[in-house]
Amino acid sequence: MSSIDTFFSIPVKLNNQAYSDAKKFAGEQATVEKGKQVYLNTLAVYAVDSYLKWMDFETDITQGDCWNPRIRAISDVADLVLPGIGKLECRPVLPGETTIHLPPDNLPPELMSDRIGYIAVQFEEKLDKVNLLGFCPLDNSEDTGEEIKISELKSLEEMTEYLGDLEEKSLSQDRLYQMSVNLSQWLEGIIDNIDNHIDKAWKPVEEILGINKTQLMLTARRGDNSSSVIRATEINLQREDIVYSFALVVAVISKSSDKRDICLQIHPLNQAYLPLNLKFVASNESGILAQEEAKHRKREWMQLNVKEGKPQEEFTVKIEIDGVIAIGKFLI
Amino acid sequence: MDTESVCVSWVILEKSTSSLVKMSTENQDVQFYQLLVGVIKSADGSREQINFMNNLLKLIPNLKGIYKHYDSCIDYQEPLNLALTSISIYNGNISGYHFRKLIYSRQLDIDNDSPYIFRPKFIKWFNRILKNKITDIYRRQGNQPLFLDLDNPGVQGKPLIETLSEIDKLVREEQEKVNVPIGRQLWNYIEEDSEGILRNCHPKNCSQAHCQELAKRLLFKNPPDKLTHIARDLNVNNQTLNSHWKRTCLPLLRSIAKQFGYRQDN
Repeated sequence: MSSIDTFFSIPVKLNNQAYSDAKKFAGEQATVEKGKQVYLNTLAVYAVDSYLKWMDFETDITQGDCWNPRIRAISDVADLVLPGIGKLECRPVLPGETTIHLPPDNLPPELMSDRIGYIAVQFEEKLDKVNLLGFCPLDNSEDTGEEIKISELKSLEEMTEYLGDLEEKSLSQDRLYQMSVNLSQWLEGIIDNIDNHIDKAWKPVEEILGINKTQLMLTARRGDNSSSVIRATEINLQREDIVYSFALVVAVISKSSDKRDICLQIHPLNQAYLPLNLKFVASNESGILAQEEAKHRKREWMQLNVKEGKPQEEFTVKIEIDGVIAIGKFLI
Repeated sequence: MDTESVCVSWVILEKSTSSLVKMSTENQDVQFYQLLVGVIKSADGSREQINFMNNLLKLIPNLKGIYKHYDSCIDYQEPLNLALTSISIYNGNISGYHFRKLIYSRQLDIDNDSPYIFRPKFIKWFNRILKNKITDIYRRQGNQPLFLDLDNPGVQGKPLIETLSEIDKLVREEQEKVNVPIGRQLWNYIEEDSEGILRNCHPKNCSQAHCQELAKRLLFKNPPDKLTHIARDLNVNNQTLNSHWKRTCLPLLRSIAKQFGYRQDN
């Protein structure tokens, strides 16, 4: 069968890791057909990953849905995470196909919202290389049809420009996220079992704050029978020669199967009191959920409460002192 | 605890400019900044701008951070010249247009920002243009594959099978190595639905449109049925079914899948 090409396609060779992972992931599937789908999806993601890394974009291939063995077993996903920017869906195109098929029916709307575009990855009969055919930006997931004509794709040069603009936009808007901290997973008790480098930064409160200050957190889980998890992490903000060290303490309290209260506290670590003018803000797409500012000296800690959050909802926490900002993204 | 471990989940945004710039780079940054200001502030096509531009184009290939491409199949000078031309010419004439656009899109303030922040921003932008010119040349040279593995630049991967039509055999062999693949275990779990969680999850008055039925037809069937066809088959309003599937069933199935996985692991 002949192949449809774009005049701007880029042929890419893959490394052995790509072929090896593709085989392994395919072998986990329920049927041969599903295995083939996963095999091609994995190679497509690897091809795009190597191209974007070469183009000096930060990627995190392991954070995609397609890297989760359970999710890829029930979904047709081939997503590549660009931290702080979003996810690119890498769609395989087989010989003779003139369109890329989109799988609109296997992702909930809230997960589609972080997709920033589709990139077509063409396979030929010989598997020694793939072609990156082109790109389709995605501004509104609800408007996506079921397929996109290859002849209508934009060039990869346009894609790098588009992604570069998104990269700059996210930086300039102080909206650069590495990834979400998944709080529901904490409740599922996996923090101690899963080998996840994100969660390693979150430690038992007494390890970060010491025993005395840990008493403060008791308020977060007092008064009901709901289950809760409390963890803390250290955050260092540097402004020229001054380093501010803080402990951010997060308590997740499960009120029912679909309601969580989140309690956030910030404590100074290398001084007795919080620095003057420290801002501590929790917000989501709708606006500010809670905020505090150290307006007087001798403020020992500040607390924000995010009430009745639902699983899969997101919010961000911003800590700002003298124009230096740390932002974290949390998935309830 | 070190800063690095925090930075995995937290991004520290430093609005001020680092003062720890090496001398040689510092001089280069200042020189680059001065020429950039000259190009941007001079009238397009003026003798003054042409002078600034010439000096800038001479400096760019020597700037710290400029991408170098080593491949005997390609004369590096060619894509470099193409990239330099593309940033200095607009509508066929010497112009500061692309530099002004860069300054604007990166929200830089040419008069007030530190001179040291301009080179790094420029380098990132220019390297991507340069690399696109390199890929143009690879393509022009007859579809020669571009190998982009940064970790192992000299080692090309060899597919475990040669052709697409061999994938089925490879997958079958791989699946046979495992007693019951996790994907099969998960499908079985959903098909059994022993607690009735999926079968009991349906829109009001449409008990036939439950999550298990939809999962079978939309996730497990290949090719999947279309939602509109399922709506017709089950005599359910299309909009109701679409909303039920995306807003209720998919999150439920993902949640089941995740929990199922952890149970297996533990």
